[in-house]
Amino acid sequence: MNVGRSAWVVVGSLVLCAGLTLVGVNAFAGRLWRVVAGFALFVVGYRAMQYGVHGWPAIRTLRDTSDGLADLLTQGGGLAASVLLAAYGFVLMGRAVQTAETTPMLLSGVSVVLGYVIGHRVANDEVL
Amino acid sequence: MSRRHSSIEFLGGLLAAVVGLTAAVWGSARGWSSPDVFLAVALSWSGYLFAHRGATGRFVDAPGTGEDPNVPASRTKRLGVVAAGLCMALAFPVGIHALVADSVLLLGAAATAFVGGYASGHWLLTGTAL
Repeated sequence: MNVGRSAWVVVGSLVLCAGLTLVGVNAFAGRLWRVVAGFALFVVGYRAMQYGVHGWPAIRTLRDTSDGLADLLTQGGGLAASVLLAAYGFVLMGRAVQTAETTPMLLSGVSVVLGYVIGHRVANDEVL
Repeated sequence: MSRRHSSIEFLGGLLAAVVGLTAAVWGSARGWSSPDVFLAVALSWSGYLFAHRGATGRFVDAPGTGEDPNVPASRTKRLGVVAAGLCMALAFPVGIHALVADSVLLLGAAATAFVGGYASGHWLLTGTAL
């Protein structure tokens, strides 16, 4: 891997880790939208790393075909649902730690894993 | 494509990922400062990246192509994937209980269950652990 590509691993990782830090410090304070922003940064950092290492897609191929546009919308919607579900799961986790209630305790993991599976399916074709 | 496998990198990376994840969740719940949580997150993510390189020979996979995901033909393997997903989901109540009970060891067990569930599910689906 050349220097330029290695740099994308570092840059993408910094963005991604900043996002996960935002997730952590805000989940236990119940601040859902900051947690959403944190997961959005995670997606941006991970994608930047993938494209930086393996090559950026040509924007024309996305714009010029209806298939490309449909794919883009499917990906965008899927990633938005994924980020919201994962963020909601972490906020539920924070709530469950404070209240020790059973429902958010059980739902937190389900929401995060479901969000992850949707996002990973959309972004990488694989379920996990 | 070069494929360089290293068990030491894989296992050492996974260990760092679990330790970092445990510290990040513990610190977040205990009100650590953002830079401290960031360091724990960075340890966990770096561990994951090196474990990924140990397993596949590259830090990060190429983006998807929009094709259907691989679903194993074997029923046992499919059940295994569901069990792995459940293991990941159940790591959350265990981790929550650990934070309520103030047990960092139990939180480490929850982080191990999450990462272990992920790696085994990924292996069943794709043939590589990460």
